[in-house]
Amino acid sequence: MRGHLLSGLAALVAGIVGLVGATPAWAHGFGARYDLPIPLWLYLLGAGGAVAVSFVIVALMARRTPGLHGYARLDLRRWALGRALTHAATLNAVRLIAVAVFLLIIVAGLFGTQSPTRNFAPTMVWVIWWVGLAFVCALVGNLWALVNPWRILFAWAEAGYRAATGGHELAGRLAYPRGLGMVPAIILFLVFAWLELVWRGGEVPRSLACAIIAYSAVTWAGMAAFGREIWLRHGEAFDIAFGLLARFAPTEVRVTNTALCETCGSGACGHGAHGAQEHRDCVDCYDCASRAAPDARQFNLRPWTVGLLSHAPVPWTMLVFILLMLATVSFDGIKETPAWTGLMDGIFGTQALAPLLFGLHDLTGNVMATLQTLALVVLPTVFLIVYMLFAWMMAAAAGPSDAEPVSAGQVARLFVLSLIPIALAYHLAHYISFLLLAGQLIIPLVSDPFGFGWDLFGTADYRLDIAVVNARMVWYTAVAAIVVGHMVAVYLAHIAAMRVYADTRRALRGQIPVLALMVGYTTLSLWILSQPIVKSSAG
Amino acid sequence: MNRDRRAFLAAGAAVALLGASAARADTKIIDVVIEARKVVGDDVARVTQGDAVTLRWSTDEAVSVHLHGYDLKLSIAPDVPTEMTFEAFAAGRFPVTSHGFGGHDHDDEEVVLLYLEVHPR
Repeated sequence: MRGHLLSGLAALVAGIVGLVGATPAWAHGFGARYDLPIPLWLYLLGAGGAVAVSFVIVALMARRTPGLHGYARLDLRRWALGRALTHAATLNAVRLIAVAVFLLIIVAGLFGTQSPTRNFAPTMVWVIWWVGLAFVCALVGNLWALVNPWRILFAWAEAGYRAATGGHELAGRLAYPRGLGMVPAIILFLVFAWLELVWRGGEVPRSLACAIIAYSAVTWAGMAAFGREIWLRHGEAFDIAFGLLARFAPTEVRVTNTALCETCGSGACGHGAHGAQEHRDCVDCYDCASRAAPDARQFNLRPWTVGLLSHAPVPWTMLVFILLMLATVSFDGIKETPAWTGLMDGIFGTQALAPLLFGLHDLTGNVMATLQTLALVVLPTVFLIVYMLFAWMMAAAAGPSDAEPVSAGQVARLFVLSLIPIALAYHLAHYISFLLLAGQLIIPLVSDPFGFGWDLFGTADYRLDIAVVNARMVWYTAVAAIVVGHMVAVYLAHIAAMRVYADTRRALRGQIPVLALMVGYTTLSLWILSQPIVKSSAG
Repeated sequence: MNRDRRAFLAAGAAVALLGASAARADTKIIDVVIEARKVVGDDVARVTQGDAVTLRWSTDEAVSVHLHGYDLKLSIAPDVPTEMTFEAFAAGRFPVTSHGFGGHDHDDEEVVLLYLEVHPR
């Protein structure tokens, strides 16, 4: 069973490596950003605000633990509009569109013009999907769970196979090794982060389409071997990434018939799946939701962030996945700061390193990419080490107790979800103007997805409006988002602490290191925003 | 009478507004000198949104420059100062890249010469 997985991964890596050599450098870089750095006074105000807010929250809520015993919910299926939105016909129509867009990306990438900005694929993938959908998932709800083309197409294939063979199952003949956890997703996300941040082929339509095909092959192989839902929960990096962001969102899918969970294809639902512990309902399990009877199914409005309240320590591999996500989001910003290019120039300018750099060049062909790849591995490792250090400090600060020994490992796995709002806020702050500017590219592209000079909807001649974003508004939105994200993170950590430690005093002591960590992380995010974006001269 | 007065006031307000906005928009002329394929001095030019900007280019080697975002392109010959004039209507940080130094059109490498920072009012 591991053979399948490994051969799939090997094929993916080989495919990508094969493409890199053939990647031409494009004269007009895709995804240019024109944001102004936030001014110093706003940076200081934001950082100071974050510190102040931290202490106010903890002081105000020292003895209170809201959200511990369930939360207010409103079933949107109560109204005709809610029922229409969640009707099978609507969902199937959305799925059909999602699959059509997925196929269009691949076909446009393979056969369309190879200019990054005149082909549908790069803008759709990097701007609308990766940035835009992340916003939707975090702020509205887990749309990816519905439109994930790998899930949809595989489910269709399963249904077809069942019909053709008289009820035989297509997938899931192998038992997924429990100990593996989310390791496949971690590896795939790391590969993806490299494609996004280091690889220049990401903006070349054909290379991008090939990478998508390779990822599809790995995903479907994983689904076929272990079962669709099992792979989605352990190996489909985006289902996990968007799912984590969607825990922040104010909507949830809930199934009140928990007997269904016994036969859930994911094998993980009801046992540590988030939110499921409170009332023993099944929350945000899309396998159960799709099989539940209509009257056992709810589409609820809920308070923001409650999905991030951790009831039990998350698995170790999920902790690593979350920190990997946070580190790559930060790295995306860091590698465009003058400090980073200064560091790179310093490395390139150091005589003592010259033989090493020449050696690297002979070995890999691109020293800059090699150094960035290295950074992409080093930075998550640093994040992990720093985080574990703080978890250890928290456990130590709270002090030992015979009644409830809480180890640093448990602390780490309990608090990691509370870091997500900071990452989310930074993501929002960093990408809002990019989404508004580069996102406009999709307007002409829907009329001419292949760059063949078509004009299907009369929008092909649309030109980017660079004045669409008000710089001052973007600054205020960005800093407000970061301070609010920080506030939410502190609040979540406080509730987690109150949950872990029965003794209030220990809970408060234990929170001091986590507060320090969060202030540091928020300040790093703000600092990146205060830096002018520069293009690497050595690129 | 009342109507006339209102019209008069409106016209006055319009003139005042126009005058104010005209007074706030400055004219900025910035000299940019390229030597040995690099800009001499600071590689960031700062203007304020609404300014009428003139970038006065001179170079020691034939080159094309491209102001991104505003999407303005200009070919410059050696020792012939050439101007790029535009209204800085959008705030942001816009790279100016060089293309084809020495008249080589197939030079793909995109190098940032200068950043134009348009600060909001």
